[in-house]
Amino acid sequence: MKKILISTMLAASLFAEMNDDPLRATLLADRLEWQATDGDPVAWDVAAYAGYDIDKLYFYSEGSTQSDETESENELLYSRAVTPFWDLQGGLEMDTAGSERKYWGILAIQGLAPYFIDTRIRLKISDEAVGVNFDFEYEALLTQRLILTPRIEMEAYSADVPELGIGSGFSSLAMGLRLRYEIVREFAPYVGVEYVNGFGDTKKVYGMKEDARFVAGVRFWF
Amino acid sequence: MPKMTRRTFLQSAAVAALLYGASPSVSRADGRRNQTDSFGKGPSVLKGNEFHLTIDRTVVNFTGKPAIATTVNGMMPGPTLVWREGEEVTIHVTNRLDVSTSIHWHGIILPPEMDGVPDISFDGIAPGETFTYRFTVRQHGTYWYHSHSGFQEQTGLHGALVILPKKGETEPFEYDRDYVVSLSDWSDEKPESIYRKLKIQSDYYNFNQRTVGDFFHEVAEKGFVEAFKARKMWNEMRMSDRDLSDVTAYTYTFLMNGRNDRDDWHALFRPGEKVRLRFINQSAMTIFDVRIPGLKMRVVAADGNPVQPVDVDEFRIAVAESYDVIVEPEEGAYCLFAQSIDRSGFVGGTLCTERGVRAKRPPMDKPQPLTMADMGMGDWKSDGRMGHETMAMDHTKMKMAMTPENPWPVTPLPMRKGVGWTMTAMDPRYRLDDPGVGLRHNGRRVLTYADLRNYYCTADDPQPDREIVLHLTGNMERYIWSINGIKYADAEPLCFHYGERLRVTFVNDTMMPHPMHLHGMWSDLETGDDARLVRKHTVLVQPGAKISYRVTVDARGSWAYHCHMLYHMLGMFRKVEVV
Ligand SMILES: [Cu+2]
Repeated sequence: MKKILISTMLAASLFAEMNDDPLRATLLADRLEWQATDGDPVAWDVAAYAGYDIDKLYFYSEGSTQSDETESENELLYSRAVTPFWDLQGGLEMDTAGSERKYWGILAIQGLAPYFIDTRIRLKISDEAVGVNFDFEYEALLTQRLILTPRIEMEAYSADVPELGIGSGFSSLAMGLRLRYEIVREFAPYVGVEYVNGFGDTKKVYGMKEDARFVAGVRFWF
Repeated sequence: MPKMTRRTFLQSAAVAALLYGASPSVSRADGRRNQTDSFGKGPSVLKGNEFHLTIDRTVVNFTGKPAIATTVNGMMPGPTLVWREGEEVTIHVTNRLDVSTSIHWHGIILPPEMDGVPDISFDGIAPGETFTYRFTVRQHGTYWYHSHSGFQEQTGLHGALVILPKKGETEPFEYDRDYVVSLSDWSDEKPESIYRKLKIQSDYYNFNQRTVGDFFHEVAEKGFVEAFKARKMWNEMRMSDRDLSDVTAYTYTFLMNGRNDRDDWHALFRPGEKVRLRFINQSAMTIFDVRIPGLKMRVVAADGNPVQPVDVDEFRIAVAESYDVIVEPEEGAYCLFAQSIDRSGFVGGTLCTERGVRAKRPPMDKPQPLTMADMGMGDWKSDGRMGHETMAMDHTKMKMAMTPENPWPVTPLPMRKGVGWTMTAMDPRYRLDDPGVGLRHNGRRVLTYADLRNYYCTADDPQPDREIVLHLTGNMERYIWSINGIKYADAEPLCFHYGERLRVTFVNDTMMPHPMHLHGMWSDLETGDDARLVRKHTVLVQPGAKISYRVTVDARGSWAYHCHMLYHMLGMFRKVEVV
């Protein structure tokens, strides 16, 4: 064991100038958009990380601002690559709805599923409820720069979460279809449609309505 | 020994051309064949036994925008050094950078402390310091040199080596003129930035990806079910059959002897002359396919060593390889055409009888997608189309030679299946007669490794004592490269025993070709005939394929062993200890 340790240290000091795994940080605003519905909502979906091939620190934020009321889900997670295509993630999430705050413990897997489906599945745990969130996205290249992205997100909860306006059971569904044009890889304006619907108490008690809307925005990263 | 001024600013490629175009000397028809060189005079060619090289930063302009290159004596590529076999050379390398540097003499057999690999052979050359290399030259032919520090090779620190045979000896082919043709890839982007982008999005530079249109095209051809089935394997493995090159002409400008296509490097000839062209791929990441429309090329040497002459229309030259060809052009202008493996770009030069003529460039070929063979699933002809009959014949011959009756013991090596190892070639084959993706069935006579036979007999070479198997592994999605699933930073050195004859078999478990380069010793490639093993320093391992060569372990010390793709090398690397 000692021998392996020493040789590993030696190898690491070799090639000091050619580190195969340098620290890197990046931010991706996958969606930053205006939505054509009542209250002119502005929505965002941002992911940032800093780290290495295997270990990363992730920050996610997704939400919208509509008629001066902001709803958001913000996560801070440690992410570890566990298989060639999958990362296991754990950390904290803070959800907001207006002035309400709700904290969750998070366990998630993120990666590329067969058929190139970008996948993220989140288990949200609090003292009152357990929730799951599924997020799937696919990129269909119409040309090398014109990309159509269908996306689907579903949520279910074990109990009502009144602060966030969520009822128990299958609570909500969001489906989007966005068409972006990559002027450069890092910057792509897009247009699309977004369909949302609430189910069960989320709809009946907390009033989430079925809605389909036109969206326009930009995707960028650096 | 002409001493260079410390800085020569290359204001534009045009000025650069004046400086290091291989100013073709108007000839010397003195009847003394095989001695004439046309790689020129002046600072771009340095001959003799003692050399002074200064490494510095210099402004260059290949794209219309000025950028900073790492240069040797103010030039990019650096000057061609002309040595003579049997003589001792002394090279003083002065570092005027603010970071450590090095020069590695690629393919040269020399003492380990002269090999120029920081932390393996020596400490590197610190800023302001001068390091003196001194060794006796024990070979002749076409070679090159480059930095082994950081990403300096990408930013210009490379140059050609021409080694003449011992006085009174000749090479086994004749020619009237002699030109170095160095191919390289230049980017205005910093290499660190290219590498970071690959880590964040590995297909960043790939603008030849499958589109929805491609799929519907296949649906129209064979119906939805068949088209879907054909995609199934790729989709399940999350791999792309368009993954031909990590870094493309999106950022690269391809150069021939330091000139871009527009600035058209010229070489002169007189009708009827035999012209020797020493092609050297000095790129960081670009594999080139080279042809001269209208001319047959007679390949006479590979990686500096003479081979049985073979006439071809085209050859693939991997990073760090060299091929010497002889052509006999008639009146007119010919294009030396080098297109990148992914067909994202090319560079051309002109071979002509008078200056000022620009040869017409042929159109680039369409990129071909990878096949199941490139995924390590069977043979390359299994795409349904058969190759030529001669190839099929060669193939059976090869199989016989490749299946030794008395296999030698295989030394087990540590392996790690983990995050960095995505794919395992299920049925990797020796595909020596496969010209590789992009060159299959193109109607031209393309050189393959199966065509290469050593000029000299190797029947007396000892049989291997043992074998090691090295898997070339990676995760394209995360841009991690390794050998046997273990990247360099986590790897124990490989142990070779002094005096042994070792057989190395590579299995490429990735979908990228990897040019593997062993320092300090030769790689005697098995191409189907044990009596004609091909002596190389760099061997291209095709995706999903395997390949074997033999190494006479005759050099004690520590050596580097790695993939020569610059951005793969960081992980796909081993230190070799010869004990
Ligand atoms: Cu490689």
